[in-house]
Amino acid sequence: MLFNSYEFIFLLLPMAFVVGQLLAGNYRARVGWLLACSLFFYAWWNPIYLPLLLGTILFNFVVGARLRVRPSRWMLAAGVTANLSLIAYFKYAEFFSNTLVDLLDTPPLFGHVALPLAISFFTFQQIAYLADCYSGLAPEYRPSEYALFVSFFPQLIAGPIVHHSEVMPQLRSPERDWCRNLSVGGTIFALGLFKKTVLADGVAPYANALFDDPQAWASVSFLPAWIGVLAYALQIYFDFSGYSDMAIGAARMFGIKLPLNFFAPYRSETISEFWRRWHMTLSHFLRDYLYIPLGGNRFGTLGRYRNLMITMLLGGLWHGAGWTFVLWGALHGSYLIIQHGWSHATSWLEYPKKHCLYRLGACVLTFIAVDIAWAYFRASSLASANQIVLGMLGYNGVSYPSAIALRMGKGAEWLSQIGIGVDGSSGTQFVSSLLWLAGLSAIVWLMPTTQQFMRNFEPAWEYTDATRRSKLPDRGFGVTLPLVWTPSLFWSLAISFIAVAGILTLPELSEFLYFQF
Amino acid sequence: MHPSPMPEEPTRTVPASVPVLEAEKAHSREHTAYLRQSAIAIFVLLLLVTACNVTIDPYLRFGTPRIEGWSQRKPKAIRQVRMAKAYGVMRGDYRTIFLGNSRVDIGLNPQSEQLSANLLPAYNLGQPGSGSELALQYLEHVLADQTPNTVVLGVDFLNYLRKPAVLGAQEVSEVATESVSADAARLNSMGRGTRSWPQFRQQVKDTLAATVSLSALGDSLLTILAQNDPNAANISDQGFNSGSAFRNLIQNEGQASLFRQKNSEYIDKCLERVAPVDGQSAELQAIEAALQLCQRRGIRVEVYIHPYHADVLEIFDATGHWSNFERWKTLLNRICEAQGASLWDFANYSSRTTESPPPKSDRRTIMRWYWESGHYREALGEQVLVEILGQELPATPAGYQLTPSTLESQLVATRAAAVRYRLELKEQSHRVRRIVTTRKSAATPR
Repeated sequence: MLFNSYEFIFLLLPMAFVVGQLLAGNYRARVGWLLACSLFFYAWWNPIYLPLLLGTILFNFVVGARLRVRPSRWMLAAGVTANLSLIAYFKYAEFFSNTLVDLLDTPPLFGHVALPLAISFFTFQQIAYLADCYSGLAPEYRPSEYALFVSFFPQLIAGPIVHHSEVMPQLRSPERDWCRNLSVGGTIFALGLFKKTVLADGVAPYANALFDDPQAWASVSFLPAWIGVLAYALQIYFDFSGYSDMAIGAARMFGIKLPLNFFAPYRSETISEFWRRWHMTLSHFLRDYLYIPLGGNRFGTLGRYRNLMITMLLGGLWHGAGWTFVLWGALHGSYLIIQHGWSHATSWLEYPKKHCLYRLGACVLTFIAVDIAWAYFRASSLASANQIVLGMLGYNGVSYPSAIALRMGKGAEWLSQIGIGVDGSSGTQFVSSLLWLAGLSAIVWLMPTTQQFMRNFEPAWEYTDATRRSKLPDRGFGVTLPLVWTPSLFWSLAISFIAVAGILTLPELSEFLYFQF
Repeated sequence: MHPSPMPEEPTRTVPASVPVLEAEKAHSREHTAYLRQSAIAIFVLLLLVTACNVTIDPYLRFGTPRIEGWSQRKPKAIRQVRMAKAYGVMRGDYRTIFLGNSRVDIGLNPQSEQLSANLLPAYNLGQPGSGSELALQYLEHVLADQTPNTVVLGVDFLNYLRKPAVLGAQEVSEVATESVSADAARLNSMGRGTRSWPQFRQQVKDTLAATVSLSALGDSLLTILAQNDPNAANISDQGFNSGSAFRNLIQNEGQASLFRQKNSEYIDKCLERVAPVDGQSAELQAIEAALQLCQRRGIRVEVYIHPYHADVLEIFDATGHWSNFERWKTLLNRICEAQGASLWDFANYSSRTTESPPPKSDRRTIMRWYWESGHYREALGEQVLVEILGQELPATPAGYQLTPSTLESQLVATRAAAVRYRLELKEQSHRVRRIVTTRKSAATPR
């Protein structure tokens, strides 16, 4: 079931909320009800993978219980291997088989393997749980509690990847002020819906026009290449940010504060900062359960670079089984290495680095680096990604629609003199794409994030504790308009407009980009 | 660290003091008011949007009466033509139905004065971007609810050609794989009864898309703004697309440019597509099924081959499809003969189809018979209707009826007319053939 669907917004969510409230005094019944809603939510599209989800829950619950009672390195390794084998089969078997076919011309080992919904997310959550059971960090849970922790519908499909220590205490004693939860959660959900369906889906056609059309990317020139990639950068930003808001908002309606997954990443001034703000829960997981176990920065500079690269390569592969994702991870690994090298070499430049011009340059450079990597992330093949990146670098020249040139008078002549030609593309599309990019960029670098906007009402798990709050990223580079939500008439009207715009997009159903991971 | 013990059942927190309780109550009242205000605002806004969209009816979903200055023209309905016509045709009881693709949609006016009283009212069910398979589905949709006495079916050689990838023992229609499955769900189907769950679900989706949707709201506003534009696109209540939007394109780019674009499109299609093996054409099977259906219901059927502009005929020839074109006509002839339907051939070289497009720089002249090489204007559509539905043939007919006895002579006559055309309007013929040669050399691996 999709968050941006009639059945979720007008059926499952209200029903789950109302019955959940009626069962507020009966903890076991409430947990059972939310678990039933979550399984129904998961099975809505294709119930065939429900047994798989239930099977992994049962398996990890039993292994976790054994590990907690008698910690055993062997059993932990077996449990983690079983989880990784599952994800490896469903997510990577076909990729591996196709690679062998390409390289060695062997017959395929596997046919098409359909990817069960959310397998990456629920597997990672459970691996973390097993590791914590082994380390004695996980308390004992009832089976229904554990099943709800893994499958809780607001975070089941595309995260955030929650840690049991974040969610379980809240499940056991949720905040009971349902009016407050509903108004805060509903507002966050409405903002997320708007971001996803109006903004992300609105700019998507300009990205699709480049990436999905071989004629468009085959020898794309500078401007359309950048327009397409920027459109995708903004599409995935609002898609993911919108999804995270909807997940956090929906959970909040039940009194559960989910962890932040997304915090103004395009305001970052370095790549490592970008990863502290983008898909935060995945970054935490990779850091805690991959980078640090690999040795982190304990083995000198070269060891640190090696570990960074391995972590990012696996992070790339986690997003999808394909060479474009591997390359995307490799690019980010390289960026991180370069950034650390630069920081080390210029550690004496403390003062200039605080100057706003340096910060602007750093933010722009980081954004450009991220965009080039997005080209590989979005492209359906390495060939198309390479062509698009070449276009972004000006390899195929610079041109703009002749219809615009006709209206520019002498400006067109001047542009022609400096080597900027005209082409036959649509002038209307060109102008509307620029308007979209400008409007969305203004939101990215001017508006507060949803959580900043809602900051007075504990809009995420990090806001519930002063220590955790102090560890949140700062607002990042850019201007932040001082908008703060309160339950007032003004904001009820403003948010209603936003909610209605979101509801009006429901007939034009679209999937979340992050569903494919 | 040791695992924590099992927790006790959660208990309600007892407020620390009365002032804290009062403050909490005040906050709670604020949130309650916020929720109430939001619920009312959302309800009212949705109601207003629905009222606006139903009143303007940008996609002709409801057939709401058109209001001069507000909703007379429906420029956005052409983007939702499958939906507009599926519901539009069910709002009347029509004696004549026009079926086919965009050439029918733009070319045949169901309110033509050439239609005699016994043929009226008529409805244009032409669907852009489709072939006879979709025409058949729309015909079944109509026949499930009403029985017209005449069907005019425009058939297209370009729909007969298919990409090699989709040709096989069981040919899969491109149309079917692209959009028909979703579009077909809203149609009455004679096979599954007049109503079904998928149809109900699709009708609900259509209603929502035309009422509580952001696109519909935007299109309603654009519909209002377009009322002062005499060249705004429009679909009549009888399903006719006047093609007036072409006027804007012509003003911006000129008709020569439109011809060039359309010719390029057809050249690419003809170069990449092939003719199916006899007996395996889904397009011809659909035509045959439509004719059988009409024959069973006692409906008169007039099948006609479009009056392609000479540019298109030259493309057929230059891309090596002329023999396929003639074979297609022969197969059509057989099918029509077997099903008792008349077949008319307007695809020939005549004074109308050889009309020259204006020069490149001319953005004012509008040709008499064509919008561009693929779409003839209503004026030529009138000639088609006069000939196939009228009592007498005009002095200089635009087409001829094909029968088994006249087929061969007509094919020979068209070939001769083609030779004459290439001699008399050499430059016009070369204009198209040069592009074909360029495309062919670009497509040939070096």
